[in-house]
Amino acid sequence: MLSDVVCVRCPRSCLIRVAVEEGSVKSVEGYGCRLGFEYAVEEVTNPKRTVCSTVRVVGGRYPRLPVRTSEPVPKSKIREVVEALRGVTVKAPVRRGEVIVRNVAGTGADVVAEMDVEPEAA
Amino acid sequence: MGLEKKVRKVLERYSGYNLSCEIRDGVVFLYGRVRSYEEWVEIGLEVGRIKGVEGVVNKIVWDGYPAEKVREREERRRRIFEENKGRVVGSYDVVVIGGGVTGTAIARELSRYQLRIALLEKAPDVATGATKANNGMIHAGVEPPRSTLKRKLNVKGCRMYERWARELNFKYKRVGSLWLITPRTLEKYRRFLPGPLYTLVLKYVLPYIVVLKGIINGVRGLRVVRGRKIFEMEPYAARDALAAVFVPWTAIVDPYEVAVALAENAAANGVEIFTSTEVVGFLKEGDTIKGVVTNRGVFLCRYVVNAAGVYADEIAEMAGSPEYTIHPRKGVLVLFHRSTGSYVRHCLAEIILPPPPRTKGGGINPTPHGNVMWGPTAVEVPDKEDVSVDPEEVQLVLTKHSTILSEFPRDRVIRYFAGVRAATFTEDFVIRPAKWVRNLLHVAGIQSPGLASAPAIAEYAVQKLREMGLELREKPSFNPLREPIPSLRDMEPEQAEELIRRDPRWGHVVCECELVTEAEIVEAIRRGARTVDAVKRRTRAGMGECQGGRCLIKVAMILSRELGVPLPEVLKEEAPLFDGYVRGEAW
Amino acid sequence: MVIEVGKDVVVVGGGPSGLAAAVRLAELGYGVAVVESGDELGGILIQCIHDGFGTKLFGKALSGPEFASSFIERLGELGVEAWTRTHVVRVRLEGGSWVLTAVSPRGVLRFKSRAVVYATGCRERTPFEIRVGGTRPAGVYTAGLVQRLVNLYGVLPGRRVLIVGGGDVGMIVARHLHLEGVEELLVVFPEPWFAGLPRNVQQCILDFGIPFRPRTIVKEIVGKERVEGAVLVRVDEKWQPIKGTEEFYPCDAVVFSVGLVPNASQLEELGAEMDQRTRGPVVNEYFETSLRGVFAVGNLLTPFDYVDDAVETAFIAAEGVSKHLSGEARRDKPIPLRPGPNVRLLVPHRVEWASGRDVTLFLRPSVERENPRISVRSSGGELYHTRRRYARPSLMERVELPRGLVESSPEGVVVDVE
Repeated sequence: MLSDVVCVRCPRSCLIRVAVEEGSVKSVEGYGCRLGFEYAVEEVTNPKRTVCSTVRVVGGRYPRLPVRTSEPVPKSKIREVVEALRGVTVKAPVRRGEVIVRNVAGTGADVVAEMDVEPEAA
Repeated sequence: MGLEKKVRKVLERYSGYNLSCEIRDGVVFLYGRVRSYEEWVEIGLEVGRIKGVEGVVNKIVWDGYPAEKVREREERRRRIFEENKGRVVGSYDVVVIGGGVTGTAIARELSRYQLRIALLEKAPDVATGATKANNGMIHAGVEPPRSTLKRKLNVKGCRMYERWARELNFKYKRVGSLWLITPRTLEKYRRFLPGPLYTLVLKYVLPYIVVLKGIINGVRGLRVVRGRKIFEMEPYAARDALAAVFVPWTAIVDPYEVAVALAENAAANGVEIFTSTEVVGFLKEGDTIKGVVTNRGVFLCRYVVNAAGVYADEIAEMAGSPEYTIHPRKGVLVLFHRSTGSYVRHCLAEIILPPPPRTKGGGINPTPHGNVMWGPTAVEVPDKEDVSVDPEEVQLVLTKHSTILSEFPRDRVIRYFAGVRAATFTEDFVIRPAKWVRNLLHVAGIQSPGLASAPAIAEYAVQKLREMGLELREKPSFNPLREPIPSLRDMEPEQAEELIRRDPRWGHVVCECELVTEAEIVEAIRRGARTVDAVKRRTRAGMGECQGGRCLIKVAMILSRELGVPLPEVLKEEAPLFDGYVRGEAW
Repeated sequence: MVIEVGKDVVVVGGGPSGLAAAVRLAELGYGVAVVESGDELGGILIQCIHDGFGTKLFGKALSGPEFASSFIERLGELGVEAWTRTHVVRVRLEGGSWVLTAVSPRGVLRFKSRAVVYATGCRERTPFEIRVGGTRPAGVYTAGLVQRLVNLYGVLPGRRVLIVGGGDVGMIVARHLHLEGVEELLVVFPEPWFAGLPRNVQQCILDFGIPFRPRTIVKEIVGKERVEGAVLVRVDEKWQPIKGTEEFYPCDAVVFSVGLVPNASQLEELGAEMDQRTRGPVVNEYFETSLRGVFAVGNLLTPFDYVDDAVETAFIAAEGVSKHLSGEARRDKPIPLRPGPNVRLLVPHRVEWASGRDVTLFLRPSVERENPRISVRSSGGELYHTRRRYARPSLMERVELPRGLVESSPEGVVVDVE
């Protein structure tokens, strides 16, 4: 089976063709560099995504805190990761990079704060 | 009677349809069925034109008549009537129905006297109907036919505006209008005016005919302008303008600001204003109204003023004195960015005779804040609430009026909108005591020049009430002055400094396009604004280039805070802006 | 008592480009103040919670807030003053100095400086500007506003959302809405395919199976007080509506992602020369406007695809400010940089300084080409060319042009895509 992947590692956006047979990669064509090669293989065999969302924060300027997974997680786990954020509430102050949820949905990645939140007078 | 014969003669012209009529005290009731809505309008207008007809109630139906909707509406009213007919809100001398510029003006006028007055408005704010959706022109009164009531009240009202502006402190600029006469003016008659005669008539005859019309109508001061003077007055006027008539009385206002100011002053002088209050019926004893039934309960009263705009005919019918039918006429207006204000100094129009049917006049106007408005159009629509704009209509406006100016940045459109005129079939104001109800005053059919006539309409209406037996005892505590909401935009830095020191919110700019501060928004809310649009009308927040893209959320947050209402419940006008919380997580 | 603030440079706008300019200027040793109308520094990045920022500058795919944080922290380290909730209301030239009057809850401020860097970014194009008809009910928004509503305020615009526009912002907002609980989504756009980056098509639309319809626009919005739906219509290759293809699509919110327009009104009012194509100011190779000592950087010039490029203009402008403050010479006659027939827009517009850096050009093609040649020509012939994989209007191109080549053609050069 052939899959065409547009590489996102740099603006060159190489179009890479990956052939997979019986679950293993047979060939990879069209990549411009090592990063692209790795990206294409992973994208076809075990695609991963960084998940960015928000959680409730109390006492800051805004009611929501932007958060992200500390590393890409399997694409199939995106729903679960977002679900795991349901009901999560943090209190200001929050530091950028602070872990909000550890090992979210068993992916090994944490969910971390994307920015500082200072406590604000109401 | 001669009248019936004349009406039948008109109806006979529509052979193929089985139309009938009934005449009662000068009011013609029409019955039957026609194919199209256009015919329904046409027949009504034809009958309305007959001399002696005091009103046309057009009960003819057309293919596509929304019978189901009408039934639902009546059912709904009946239900609300039953739920509320036993609950008394209060007892008043006068109940004014309708919070547009007409109703608020009458209420304010009545507040000069020792009377208990209630003003009822069905929307959450005043000025949400035609009052907010017109071009803000205070016409001088040259255009209406001489024998009409609207002519009389327009000329008078226009002259009263300056005093209103001083007392009520709304923005008012007497810019004057310039009516251009160009090679297109008498195009339809060109074949009767061969060769150089055409231009001669345009330059030396027509302008004076216009001036004469003005004099006949009671408007003084019109001046003929020719040649270079035209361009001294209006640098971007069409290069082929042959002559122009200058009308010095014409002025511009923000029409919703006028109504808001009237309402605030009326309230300050004791008028009780009830918004979100819809009239669903009346309690009567014989031919006298005892109470006005609304979704809030019953307002007992001695007199009722029907200033309900496009709904005036429905109110009249509910009260038992149906004397006219409103045929809604939509008008589209196109608004340009403030940077275009340098292109226009006066209200401008190109005289085209006869007036083209779809746009019926209109032109290019500056606004008090430096924007420019083109339009309006005029299209008969069956739905009273149809304020939709067809992109082709926008193009129509841009094309039609493009001959007025030699240069104009037409790509700087920031908004277009529509309003619906409350036109009756007699095409004149109907300000008279009801024929079949003792204590009801009609103030209906207030289409253009309604805004310009408002001060005179208010006086006239009060006079009519006096004639109907309402005793008017002056209130010594009446205060005609209303303070405006100050605006940072109009201040010098030193003034701003002073205000910021007293209240830091004067230094927090919320709407960057129009320079509106948090303090102004809070003040608007304090004065009764409960929705984003109400705040917008009072402060201009959201009226700029980005149309609220940047300030909407901030205004909504301030409303949420000041009214103690969760953000998803903040209303734009009648509907909430947002739909719940992300993941249902409230805060 | 007006608060007087005297600086070498005032930066108007505390988004990424303003921050970058301030940081570079402070590093160069100048006294800088940043003036920001909003409540915090970071500009539009604060609401851009998705990642992908900084791949060119830092080699990392950061989220908007993370990218902004690095500049904000550096600003703090350098001790640069940042005035938030402070809005410039008036700008005047008084005796050779720029005086900016601003209001803030602390009072009225008078900033006095010898140079000004405008970094006021863009606003979103409204549906009126693309002639969408119908009514104006609650539930009609632009994509950036929705992004802010969802990511910072935690409220949804509706439950059945129509997104208009196939660019990056629209796609990203589609993903935000999908992840945050909107049940029904449809994306429509007039082009035959999404105009945004392929990465976003994959990761925002295809990953989640979000429905979309190419060659489709919104003709009218329907609904009295709240959106009830929209009338969609198919369009041809020229984006003209095809009669008879109108279709009512029920929804309760319509989100427009139809382009960005530079916030250039203050510069326009000041009398800066404007570029009709970009709707931003005309600038020289150091991003200085036609007003001496007033620079314009970032999205204010024209919306950039990468914040890294926007920030680059700020770094270059900082050098330009330095040249201006040092009194370096400008040419008698600037050398115009003109867009060729296949170039929709081009910044900067001219080379004005007597000497300096190579010229960093940004352009948008007006055509789609495979293996295009970007060429720079003078009246005498081709001066320079470079090749690319492909050219599309939605892909901004960056070209580094050797200064000498431009100076060799004083009557001007034309930059085109072949």
